[in-house]
Amino acid sequence: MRFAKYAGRRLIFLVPQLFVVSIIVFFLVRLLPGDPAFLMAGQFATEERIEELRSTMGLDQPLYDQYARYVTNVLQGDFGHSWRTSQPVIEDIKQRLPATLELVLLTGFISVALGIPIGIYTAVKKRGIADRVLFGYGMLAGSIPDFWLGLILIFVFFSLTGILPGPIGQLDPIVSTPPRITGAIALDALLGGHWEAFKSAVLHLILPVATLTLVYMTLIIKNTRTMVEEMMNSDFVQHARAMGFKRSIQLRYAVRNALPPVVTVVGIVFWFLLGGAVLVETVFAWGGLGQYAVESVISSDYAPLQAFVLLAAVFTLLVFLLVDLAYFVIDPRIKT
Amino acid sequence: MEPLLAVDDVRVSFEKESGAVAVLNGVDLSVQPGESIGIVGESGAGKTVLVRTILNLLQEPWKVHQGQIRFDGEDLLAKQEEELRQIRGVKIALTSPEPRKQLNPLVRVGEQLAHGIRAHRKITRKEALELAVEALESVGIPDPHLRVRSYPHELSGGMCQRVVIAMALSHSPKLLLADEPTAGLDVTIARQILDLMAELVHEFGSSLMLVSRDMGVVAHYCQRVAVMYAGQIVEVGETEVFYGAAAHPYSRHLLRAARAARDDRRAAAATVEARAAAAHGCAYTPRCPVAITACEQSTPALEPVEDGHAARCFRRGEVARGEVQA
Amino acid sequence: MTTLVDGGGPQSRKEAAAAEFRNFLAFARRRPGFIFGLCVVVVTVFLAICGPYIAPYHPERALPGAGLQPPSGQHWMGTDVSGMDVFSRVISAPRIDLAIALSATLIAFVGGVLLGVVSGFYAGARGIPRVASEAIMRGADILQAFPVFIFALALVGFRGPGTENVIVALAFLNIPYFLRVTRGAVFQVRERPFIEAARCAGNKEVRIAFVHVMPNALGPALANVSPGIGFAILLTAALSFVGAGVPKPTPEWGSMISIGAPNMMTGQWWTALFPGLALGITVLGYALVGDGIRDYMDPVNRR
Repeated sequence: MRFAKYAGRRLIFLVPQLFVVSIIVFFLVRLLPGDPAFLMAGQFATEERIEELRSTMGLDQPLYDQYARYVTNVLQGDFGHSWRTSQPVIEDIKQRLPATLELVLLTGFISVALGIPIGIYTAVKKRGIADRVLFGYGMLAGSIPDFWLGLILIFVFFSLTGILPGPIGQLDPIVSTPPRITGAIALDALLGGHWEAFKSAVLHLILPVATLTLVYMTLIIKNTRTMVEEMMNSDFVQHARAMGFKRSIQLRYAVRNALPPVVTVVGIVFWFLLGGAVLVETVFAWGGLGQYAVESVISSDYAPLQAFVLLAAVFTLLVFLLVDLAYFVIDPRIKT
Repeated sequence: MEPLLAVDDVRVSFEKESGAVAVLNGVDLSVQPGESIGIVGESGAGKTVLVRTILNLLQEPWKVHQGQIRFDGEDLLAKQEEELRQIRGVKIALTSPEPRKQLNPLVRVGEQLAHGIRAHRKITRKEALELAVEALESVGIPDPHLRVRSYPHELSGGMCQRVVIAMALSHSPKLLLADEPTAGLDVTIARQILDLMAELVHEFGSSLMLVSRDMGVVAHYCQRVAVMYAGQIVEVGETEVFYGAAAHPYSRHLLRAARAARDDRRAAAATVEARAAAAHGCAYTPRCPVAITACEQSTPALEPVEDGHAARCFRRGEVARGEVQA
Repeated sequence: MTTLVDGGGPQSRKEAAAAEFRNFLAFARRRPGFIFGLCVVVVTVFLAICGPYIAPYHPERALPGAGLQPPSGQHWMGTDVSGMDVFSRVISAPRIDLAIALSATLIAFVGGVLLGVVSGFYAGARGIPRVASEAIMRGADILQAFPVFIFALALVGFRGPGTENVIVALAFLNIPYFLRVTRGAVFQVRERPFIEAARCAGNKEVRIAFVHVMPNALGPALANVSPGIGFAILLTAALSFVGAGVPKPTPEWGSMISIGAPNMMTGQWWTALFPGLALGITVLGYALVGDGIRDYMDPVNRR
């Protein structure tokens, strides 16, 4: 009940955030050097198409009217038209979003599932070999460009040893795509029982997910470690120790209290991952939204780019909304 | 009688990159079974460090250099963490200042009490929770069956201290180390807490080591008093003797300050500014009104003034008899 | 212990500076990472100035018939697909990368510090200054609702690729970081007694904010400059990698990695490996310098 109240309040807070975000995204088009309708219609547009676009965007109307049109359209799922794919942008997005989500969510979950235990372990076992290895890894991971690491992994595991498939998207070309259920190919293959497709999809997932995990998991490890260490030295864990509490309970107290700040970092990792996915998708020809955005930039296809930025911001706001809600659940001190 | 606790020449320092800072400079102290002893002294004298050393809790960058702590026939400083765990909370318990900080903010107090109980007794969680309710009841918390489900932030400071005391006494320890149990509490609440503690300790026949800066509190609750200054016990004696004939100039200063504080609330602000002097002579020399040349040249030992009353001062006899104005 | 300097005559000031320098050397000696970082900074600055002149080959000229040669005595890091010498290009790249990163970071520093002082100094004030202070913070919040790289990509996308647009995008994105650390520092400084003294001396609020508070609140922002430059280099390379940054064939690490990407699949590892290594080491070096400076300014870590 308390949770519902808090979630409700937090959701209402989302409205003004979305409002400001939409204004910024709306004004991105104003950054274009020249006539937006002409530029957005694309190189091969006819005069009629440009005229049509000019009237949909309401370019002869006052600014607030143009904004109202933009918001109305977006709310109806109309993000404009991509001249490059000659499809409505919403169709392109529907097609590509699952692939990106698969990459981002899988990486996020693996980073959490591995990063938090590793962070706890190194906080408890200081000065081991594992600690030194992780220290070096943490330093390097913060500086290594993810797109370059992807290429190195491709070189080692594909060109050199041939263990894993090359960067040609989500499936081998000879394997037929499983019928679409969620849009994420590995998941669809699993759900539909297409084992050959499933195996191929998983193999193709390994390198991009490994690339992103290696680069971004370090944030979770470092923060978990720092927070658990700090909590092990806190008054209440030291008091538990002074009262002869079992070692496992002492550790549990420390971890439990380290969790709220770690949740925030997990949110930040997801936020970074979306940017990382753009690059890694490009490296692995993944065919997701990130690659779509890059292709749109290169070919000056503005409608999809604008939609992508809006989606990225909405994704960010949702991630931090979830962080706040998770925080509320795990910390009883937060007031409704 | 064999003392319950014997602290013998314990030296502890805080190791920094730039060098070690000596915090305990040879502490000698004993506690008899069933007795209440008060430890007084200004902040920075090393009272809390002494308490933590007795439980062998200190970790890096703290270092115990020397000394022995015998408790109930065992050498505490020689024990491993797991052996100590069987003593902590069972035979020796602790309460600390700022009780709210001693409790895990994300776990219900009943659970925490149960964790403490189950750390040393093989019973189920449910049984432990029932004992937790009883424990809360025994420290005078109203509606204990409801309060076990509270989080620390939902309780007042006084309530938190009652929980901490309940936890400390849940295994009827032989010794309770009460480190400033009333710091930060209202005067009326403080009284209640101390009365409760004294009553329970008496009931269990435990010894009590009450660390405090309040001379009045110590006089009221303790049979003996030990005064700490710059990491040493500088005087120890029966409460009545001590308050009548304190033999160390620093004790006299504390008593005077306490009286002044009571009279006009003008508590004498004092800090340990003269640590450096300890290397050669008595650490109190720079602040001592009756210091003589000998005080700068060597440190006096803790020597008897009369039976059961000792002080670390060359002029202890004169000071105790009031022959010099210290 | 910090040495107390009395008087402040030229002699003692000189001595104090000398003591400070000795202090710094003693500090640095205990930190190999910091030394490594400083070396990286020196080398990249040197290469930014001299790189193209000391390069054995012209960094933008393809050698006919010499495509994809592996590393050898002639081409230390091999050649790329069009026959350009990778080593010459790797050591020429800091010029453009550093130019972009430096100017973007400097703009962000100036903008972030000024906004940070205003928002920090007037937080909790009344009337228009407070509104301005709040507006600045909400603006920073919203700016950070967009994932960094995606926002940079969008800004460059709408303005078109090119050096100036990359600089503008990176500067814009880095402002919130400098803003936040400065604001935090201002909160501390404005409570200090000398600010009260300045107020009693009849100084105007604006003057107090920028003459008395700002110089004492620069520390955290300054400590952020070096890692900021590293981060900007990384983003520049990432933008160039996807083709939205520095146009080819200008020698730039990210675009070199992009040129080398297809070769990684066919086994010619040298075309992308070396620019990536140079990029990684540089980013690491600048981050380590930032860590070192932060630790040096923190009195707790100084001993």
